[in-house]
Amino acid sequence: MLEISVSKSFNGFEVIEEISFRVKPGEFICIVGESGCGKTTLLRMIAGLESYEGKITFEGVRKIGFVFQDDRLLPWKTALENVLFPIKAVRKTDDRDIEHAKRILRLVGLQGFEDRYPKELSGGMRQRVGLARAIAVQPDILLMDEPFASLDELTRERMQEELIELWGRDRKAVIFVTHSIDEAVFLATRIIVLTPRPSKIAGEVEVDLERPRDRTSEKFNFYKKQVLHFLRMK
Amino acid sequence: MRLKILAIVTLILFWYFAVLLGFLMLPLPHQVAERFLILLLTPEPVLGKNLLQHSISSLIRVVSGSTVAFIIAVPLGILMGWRASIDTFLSTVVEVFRPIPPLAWIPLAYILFAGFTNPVQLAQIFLVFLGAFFPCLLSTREFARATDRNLIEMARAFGAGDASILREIVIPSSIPGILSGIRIGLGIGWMTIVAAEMLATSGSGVGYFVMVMYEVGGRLEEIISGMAMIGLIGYLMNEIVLIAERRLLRWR
Repeated sequence: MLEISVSKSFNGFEVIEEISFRVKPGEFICIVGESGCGKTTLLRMIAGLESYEGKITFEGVRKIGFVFQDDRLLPWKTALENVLFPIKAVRKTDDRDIEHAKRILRLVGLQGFEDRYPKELSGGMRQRVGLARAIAVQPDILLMDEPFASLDELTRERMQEELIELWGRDRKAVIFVTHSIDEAVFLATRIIVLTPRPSKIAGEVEVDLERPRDRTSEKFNFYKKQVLHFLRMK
Repeated sequence: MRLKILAIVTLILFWYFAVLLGFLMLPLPHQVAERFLILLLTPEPVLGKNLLQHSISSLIRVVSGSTVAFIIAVPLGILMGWRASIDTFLSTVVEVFRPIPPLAWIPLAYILFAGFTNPVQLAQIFLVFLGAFFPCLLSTREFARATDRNLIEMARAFGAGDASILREIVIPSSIPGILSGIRIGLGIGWMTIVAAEMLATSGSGVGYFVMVMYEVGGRLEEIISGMAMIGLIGYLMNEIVLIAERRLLRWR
């Protein structure tokens, strides 16, 4: 459903040497790599926020949901208004949209917080609003840029579990950028490991594990080792 | 609160001592206070109006001049903050006029408005306009320009166009700047009107009142009462906008 084959130079420096992969419907792809390897740049290219050489082809409609590392909520809007924002930005909203947004806030566990402003919510709750906002547009593909990186470990693991539950409902394609191997193995159906700059694909790991996944199992560690192996390649 | 009361009491005591010890040739605080309360509602015979009526005349001039100023300054400031090209173009024009103090416009304003029935009033309102316009424009522009680029990028990622980015992100980001622009603009507009009233026969106005009280023989109690009124109104205007800011910016 999405075909990517890109490279990028910036001020004469090669940032991305060559990254090519395909995303199939229902896939949960995690992109792993060191800081500064261009993971975020890659997501921004797909979202149309960054220029590139090469090709990014969408099959069918191109509707994107984006979850940012910093929540990027509008501070003057309530949780509900924030979720409605992307819909309101492209067309007029009606009562059905409000019901839809409320349902999604319930889905991410925020019933009762619809009318709170971002400053009144915890970091985890704000990320949930950000996630709800991305899901509310009913995207064909969900792009997530280290969305849980700033959360404490317990909240992070709970958010990962909830994300998998949400994803399991309709199996939208997800591209999830992270630098945590554990997170990638827990979430992904396929992990793409990038090399340091100028980046290219160091290797791909298909994660064939039952859900819910057990982070302490032997198989889990087996996949972690594989990812680590690719990360250490130069 | 206690410190605030202490500060006021100290000031008044200082005033008493300075007068009683002969350092200041002024009436005593309670004499001024008494006169102030009388003047507030009883017409003063030279101009035939009480202090409240004078204040209302001045306030009407300030409010009309600043309202026009804000109506023009706010959208202009937002556009300047949003688009660098508009900013460069308009900044040049603005910076030509901004260093000219409003009072320096008086002679030209009289000539410009000479054809109207009430040129002095109109000139005064125009001066308030000038005084209120620039602070509001610059404050609005600063906040519009400081709009979080990340939020704009978020909107673009979701496919938002310029119109909704302006409406949903740039304008709300500018509101704190608009409100403080209004607050500062009103303050400067108030200073401008009081000064402008002192320079021309305007029949009423709290600045005019103070000047006339000086001209008819240095009536200190009246002069200080008028000054107190000027200070009080300036303080209240500032407080009212501050309260509005707190109400409107609950999300902060």
